[in-house]
Amino acid sequence: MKENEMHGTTTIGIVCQDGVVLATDSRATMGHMIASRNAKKVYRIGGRLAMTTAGSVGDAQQLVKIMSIETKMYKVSREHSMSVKAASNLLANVLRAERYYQYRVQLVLAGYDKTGPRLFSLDASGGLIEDNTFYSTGSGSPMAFGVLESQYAEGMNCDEGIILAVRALKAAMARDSASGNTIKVVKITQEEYKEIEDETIDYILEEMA
Amino acid sequence: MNEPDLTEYDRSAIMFSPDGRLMQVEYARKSIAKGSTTVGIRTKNGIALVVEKITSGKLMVPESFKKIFLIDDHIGIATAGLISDAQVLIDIARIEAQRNFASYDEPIDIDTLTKKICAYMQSYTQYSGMRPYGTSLLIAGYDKDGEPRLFETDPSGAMFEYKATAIGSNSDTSISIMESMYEDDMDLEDGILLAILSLHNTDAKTFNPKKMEIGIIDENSKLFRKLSFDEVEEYSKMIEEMIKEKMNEK
Repeated sequence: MKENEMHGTTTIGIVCQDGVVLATDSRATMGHMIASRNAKKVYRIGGRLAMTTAGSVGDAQQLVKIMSIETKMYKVSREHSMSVKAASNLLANVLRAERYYQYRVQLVLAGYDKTGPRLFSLDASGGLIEDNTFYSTGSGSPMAFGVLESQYAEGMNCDEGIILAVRALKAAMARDSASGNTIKVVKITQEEYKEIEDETIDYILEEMA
Repeated sequence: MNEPDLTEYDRSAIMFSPDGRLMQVEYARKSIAKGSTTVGIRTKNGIALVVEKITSGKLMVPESFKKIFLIDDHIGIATAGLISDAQVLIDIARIEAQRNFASYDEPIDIDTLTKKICAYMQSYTQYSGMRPYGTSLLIAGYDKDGEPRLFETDPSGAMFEYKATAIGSNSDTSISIMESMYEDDMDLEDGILLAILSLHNTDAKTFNPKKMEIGIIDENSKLFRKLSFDEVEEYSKMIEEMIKEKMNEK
């Protein structure tokens, strides 16, 4: 049933010099109906790893559950965390295995490991592409890509990345009716996994106005 | 009539002897009593698991095998007996913990996990062609409601809860030391020291931290973790000092 899908979404992942930034809107839609104004679309899966979800909510949540359990099992038996590359490869295998009855999702998986900040995008048939700059998914992604393409700078730090993510989301939410409501941002560095406070995001938006 | 020969009934794990015993299960307990000593102690603000490993020869790398395992964030297991058997049970415990999380989106309770492992071990005493696990486990962790729990498993599949207990060789000595010195309001720090002390006879003057493995979970974090070598060394030094003081008093 197509109506039950989270078509409308904007998610953004940005690779920065000291970490990665993931950002999403918080609107979930069913057709023209806003099903939720406070939908969760960034999920932490283990210590320094997170994924953003766009597409079918149920499919996405099942994948998040699989990944949370797989990364936990990996960590308790091997005594070190799964790398971002390993996690994204595993997730691609899960998607690929259901090639003929797909999880209807578009995902960005990013995190920080021994090799530094890493970011991967995944499609429903298990396609896996690493990006060392930025990526965006969902119905708002064309608008977000426009901002990201023009304003992303190599070597920018996470604080600059957060501002860019908010700017790109703001553009997407202004022109895509299926993206909107509040902005959620997560920063992952070597030191921490941090959900940026709503007040900080409000402040960034005010400064832009 | 002669007494029945018990050795005829120890060939299969699943056959009772005429006086109602499962001989293979009793032999499994003997294999546990041959190995290293493993101690668990529950205190008011945490649980400690301590193992003194038996190493064979100077050239062995003591860190290469483990007796204490992380199962989930909030659970640790210490083993005594056959390491190879233990590792299978550890894998099962880890899977059961995650299966609970997948089904209910909440961490597994310690008694639930213990029951699952015990039910699995019990099946090895009832189906043909099986051999019971030659392993005993100490399962430690915090329940969802914040209660610290410490369980022991037996090759028969029985489970017991303790404030403090020991399994493996010389466990009787360790238990009697803890019985005489355990106090209900002791804290984790004292618990760790008592556990280390109980592993050695009280006459010991030196402790080899390289052979010791310690895992703890405390009330604040409710996260199980293994102590680093430096931390273990610190505890063994503390206890050496305490014993020295006691000797001087005498």
